[in-house]
Parts: sequence; C-alpha cells; structure tokens
Amino acid sequence: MPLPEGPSVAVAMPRSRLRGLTRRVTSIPEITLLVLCVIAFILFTAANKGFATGPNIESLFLTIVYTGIVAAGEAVIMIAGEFDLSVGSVAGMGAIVSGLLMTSWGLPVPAAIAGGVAAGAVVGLVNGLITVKVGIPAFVTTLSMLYIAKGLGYVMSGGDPVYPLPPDAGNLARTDILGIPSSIWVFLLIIVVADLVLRFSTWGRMVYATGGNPRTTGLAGISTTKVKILAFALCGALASFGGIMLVSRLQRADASIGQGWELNVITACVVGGVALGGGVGTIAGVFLGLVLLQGVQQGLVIAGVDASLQPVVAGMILIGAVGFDLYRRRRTV
Amino acid sequence: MGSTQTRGRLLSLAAGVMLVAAACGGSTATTAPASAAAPASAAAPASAAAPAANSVYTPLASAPCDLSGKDIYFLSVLKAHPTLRLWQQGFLDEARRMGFKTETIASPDDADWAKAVALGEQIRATETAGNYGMVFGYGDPSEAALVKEFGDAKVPVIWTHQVLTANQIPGVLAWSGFDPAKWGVSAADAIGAKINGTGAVAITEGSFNPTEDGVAAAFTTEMNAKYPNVKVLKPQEEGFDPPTAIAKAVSILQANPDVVGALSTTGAGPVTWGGAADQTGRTVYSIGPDMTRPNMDLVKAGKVFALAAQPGYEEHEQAVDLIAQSMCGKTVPYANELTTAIVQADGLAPYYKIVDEETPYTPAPTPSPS
Repeated sequence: MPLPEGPSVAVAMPRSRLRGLTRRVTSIPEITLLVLCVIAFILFTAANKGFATGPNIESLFLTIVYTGIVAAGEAVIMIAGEFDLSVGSVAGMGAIVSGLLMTSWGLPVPAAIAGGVAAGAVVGLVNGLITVKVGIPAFVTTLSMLYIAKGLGYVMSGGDPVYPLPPDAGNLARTDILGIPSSIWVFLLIIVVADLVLRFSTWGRMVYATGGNPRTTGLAGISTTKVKILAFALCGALASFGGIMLVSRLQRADASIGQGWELNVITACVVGGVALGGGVGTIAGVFLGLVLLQGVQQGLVIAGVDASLQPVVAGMILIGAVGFDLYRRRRTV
Repeated sequence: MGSTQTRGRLLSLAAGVMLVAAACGGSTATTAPASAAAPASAAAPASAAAPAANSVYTPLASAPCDLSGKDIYFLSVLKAHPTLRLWQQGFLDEARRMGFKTETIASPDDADWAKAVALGEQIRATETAGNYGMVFGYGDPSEAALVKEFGDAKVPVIWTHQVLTANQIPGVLAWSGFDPAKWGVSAADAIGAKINGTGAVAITEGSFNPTEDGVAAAFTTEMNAKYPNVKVLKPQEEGFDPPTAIAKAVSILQANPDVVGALSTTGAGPVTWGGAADQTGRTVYSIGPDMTRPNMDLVKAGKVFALAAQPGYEEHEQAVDLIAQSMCGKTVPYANELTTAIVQADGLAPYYKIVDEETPYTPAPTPSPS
C-alpha cells in the first residue's frame, strides 16, 4: 500500500501521537475515578458554592481518614487474593484496647497506641494462620473474627465507653499542622507509603503476583503463604490503627467504633478498582474511591437532594462509576 | 467466562454470608439462667387512666409479690449505643431490685428491627406464657405483629419511649415514656429565643423512625408558629457513625450559611453538632437528647447549647414496675407519661450526680509527656 504523500503525512504523525497519548492516559488505572471526582466536584459546586469551601473539603477528608486507613489494609489483602470482613470489629477492639491501656493501665499515650495496633496485628495474624495454614476460607474465618473481636471489645470495656481519656490522647488526630489536622497528614502518609510499597517494592510485587496467579507464583519460588499471612497481619494492624485514630479525635473509646466499616471499606476498594479476585488494584485508586464515595454523600446534602432520595442517587452514581470504569478497562485491553 | 463464573460464585457466597450475618447479628445477654418451669398466669389488664406527667419517677418501694420464679426481657436495637445503655441500666437495676429470676437484654448491635423481631420470636418460642414479661425499648411499627402475638398469649408487654394512643399497637398492655413531641416543642422555644427569632435551623435524626420523626415534626410546627422568621430546614439522617454524621452536619452548614441553630433527635447529636461547629468555626446553638457524660461535657464546654433530659433511665424503671404489678395481678394504667426538661450548662449538676452514681467517675491519669 502506498504511503500517503505530502501534507497528509505531516498531519498523520501528530494524530497518531495524540492517539498514543490518549491511549496512555486512558490506560492509567485511576484515570476514570479522577475524572469522575472532578466531574462530581464541578457539578456539586455548581449546585451550591458551599461544596467547594475549605470546611467542607476538610470535613470530607476528616471523614475518610478512619475508614481510609482501614481500606489501605483491606486493599492489600484483596490484591493478595483474600478478604477480611473483621476489619470494623478489629477497629473497635483496637480502640478499646488502646483506651484501656491509657486509662486503666495508665500507660503513656504512645505506648497505648502501640499496644492497640499490636492487638490488631495479632488478630490479623490469627486470621491469616487460620485461613492460609488451616485452609478455612477467609470469608468464614474473618466473619467469625468479626463477632469474636466485637465481643472482646464489649467484654474488655464492660459495654461502657472508655471516657474520659488523658488530654494528650487527642494529639494524634487533633494537632494542627499547617492549618490541617494531623489525622489527615497521617492518613495521607499511610496512603502514599502503602501505594509506593505496593508499586515498587519486592514485597509489593509479590502481593500482586500472589493475588494474580498464586500457583505460578508458588512455582517461581515465592512463598504465597507468607505473603498472605503478612498481608492479614498488616490489615489487622491498620484496622486497629484506624479505630485508634477515631478515638483520638472523639476523645472517647467505645466498642461501637467501626461498626459497619467493613462494608464501606470493601465498597471503597471495589469502586477504587481493586479486583475481587485479587491481583489488580492500587492504593491510589482506593483513595480516589473513598473521595468519590464521601464526596457524593456530602454533595447530595449540599445540593439539597431530599434525604430519602440520597441513598438512591448515591447507589445509582456508584453503579455508573464502576460500570464506566469497567467499560474503559475493556476498551483499553 | 471463567472470571464471570468466579465472580458469580463470589457474589453467591457473599449473599450467603450476609444471610448468616443477619441471622447471627442479634445477641442476648442474660444475667441468670432462664427457666420455663414456673406456673403460667395471665397478665392483669390495663386501665384506661388519663396520662399524668411526672417530672420524677418514684419506683415501687418493693416487689408487689414474689417474682423469683419470673423472667423479664428488654427487647431493643442498638445494643451498645450510649443512650440505650442508659435505658438498659434502668431496666436491669429495677428488675434486680424487684427480684426477677432473670433479666435479659435482647438486642442486635445495629438499628435492624428485623433482627430484634427474630430475637423476640426466639424468646416466645423458648419461654412459657405467664412466666415472663416483655419491655419493648425503642420500638418500631415492624414489631407490631410480634407484640400482638405476645399480647394474645397474655404476656405483659410494655412499650417504652413513645406515646401510644389506645390500641395503637394491639397487644401492648401499657406504655412508659414521655411525649417526644413535647420536648421538640420545648427545644424550639429554647432555640428560637436564643437566636432572637431569626436565621435558619437544621434538624438531623439518627434514623427516620416514628419517635424521631415526631420530635422533628413538633419542633418544626412550634418554630413555624412561634418564630415565623426562622427557616426550618427539612430533616436529614445523620446515622450512627460519628465522622459521617459530623461530615453531614458540616455539609448542611456550608450549604446554608444562615443556619444558627440545630436540633438533633438522637443521643449522638450533641457530638455531631458540637463537632460540626468546631470544624466550620460557626456558632450553632444546638440541642440534642440524653444526659450522658460526654454530652454534658460538651454543654459545659459551651460547644452545645442545651440537652433534652429524656428520662430514659426512669421510663425503663417504670416499665419493669408495670410488668411486676401486672404479674402480681394488679391493674396498671395504659398511659404512664414522664416529662423532659431542656437543660443548659447551669442546670447540669444534678444530672452529673446521677451519672456518677450509675458509673463511678474515674479521673483520667496525669497526661504523659509527648
């Protein structure tokens, strides 16, 4: 076939480059979510200028901090090809452990926080050992742990809130840094570190490999068992830390902290592009999923949508977001 | 194809797990082993006496008869909610004082009345009519069929925290509580006066249910009538997760710059509106229910304007007494109303005393260096 001549060749080159650039941009896994977040931001701001105000944006981040920290751990475990339904209860249990350590036991706040995180890691470790070593499916193991951790929280606290806490219990979440509460800085740090670890570290690649194709990964000499158990422990520790962050903000620990978080967290992961089957997803995507979910909830209030209709509209937007992302991925492939 | 099948299996498994979770979600806490061996006796009927508001409830001096062979249950939702914990305490304290054989809290953790109904059915299936009484705390119309089953079996049922008209829920022997509409009216009067009858006022509810809807409606009606220049926003559902509830309140404030007052109809509301006012730097005169220590501390710190002192503890003491009397063959009034005061910072002292007696105050240890 003869090549096009003259000016048409000059025109064809930039077009192909543009096409290539477009293809590269649209192949970025988080691009759909980013675009949807921007669209939602513009629409809700157009509906009411109150959406784009500092307090509302700060409130959005302050809301996703706690479930966001938990979601980072959940994303790792889901990418590794497993599931953890106990994260909400572990958050509540970690909150109680930490609260009791700083009150009844009189430990310094940092030590109490470390104790709470360690308790969560132990629970995660138990989840991992039972799931991977014993072979009980993660659904069953972590569902059982959901009740066990919740019950332990009630037993330890006697069902009563741990209140009041030492005044410096609030430092973790409430310290002002450059005009922004420290809880947001801590959350962003966790998100960035987790994303970088998953993308660039050897262990991160092992997590993707384990979730993507455990059999081949095992044949390549990687211990998928160890990867999964460590992922479970990390998930438990982060879940507990999420609960402790909320304790720091509320200055009160009670066993009801974290109730229902598992559903919000898994939803954020799925919306953020983490595959239920494992091997796919990023922490950056989960972060955008959290922002989109919470942004829509707050936006609907600000836009004046009737309270009874808000869940309906939110559900429709979510289906649309996930469907649009699926369509884009299929086209990219 | 394989991926689709796997996803389908996962979804099926997830659905199965949800069903198991729904079935296991409720729980009961019994303080002594239950027995179904005690002789059955029909509950005494209620009289149609007119409601009489009592600001302070005085419990029975002693059990009207020997109740050591009888059981009593508190069926509700939101087991760990601070407000419900106070109600449970009132129920447990009075039931123990009356000498019931067992006193049991039957409640799911969340606001799922379907789970509460399942627990109620379990109680009905395992107990013997005449041997036990039921207190329905924070009841919902979806429990009506269950209540009727208890009533038909002559089990004394006391409905709390909601004013009922005669035969509104067939099977209810009597109700113990206060008229939520009345404290909604008092809250409107207090906020309206504080904001000098101008600006806008927001309303949030924990969940949309008859009790909270009633408070919100009474508040709106009173505010519209007495302070026509105050704009009352339509109620929003704040839920029970504190960060989410605060975010919703912040959104309401940002969308409505003229909001200067707020009513929350749920016990976590003071935390919600105190937190939202903090985040936005706005002055919001808010009122919410329940004299829990964290709520009172917020009023004391000036972050919340006032609290509605719902007599939650007392209404459940009264509910137990009504069952005790009924099981001892006495006639009890159908309507048993208590009143709710709006308490500002200068009136907190007596309520702190009550909370200190219920859960002894432990001062926080000396702050650690950080």
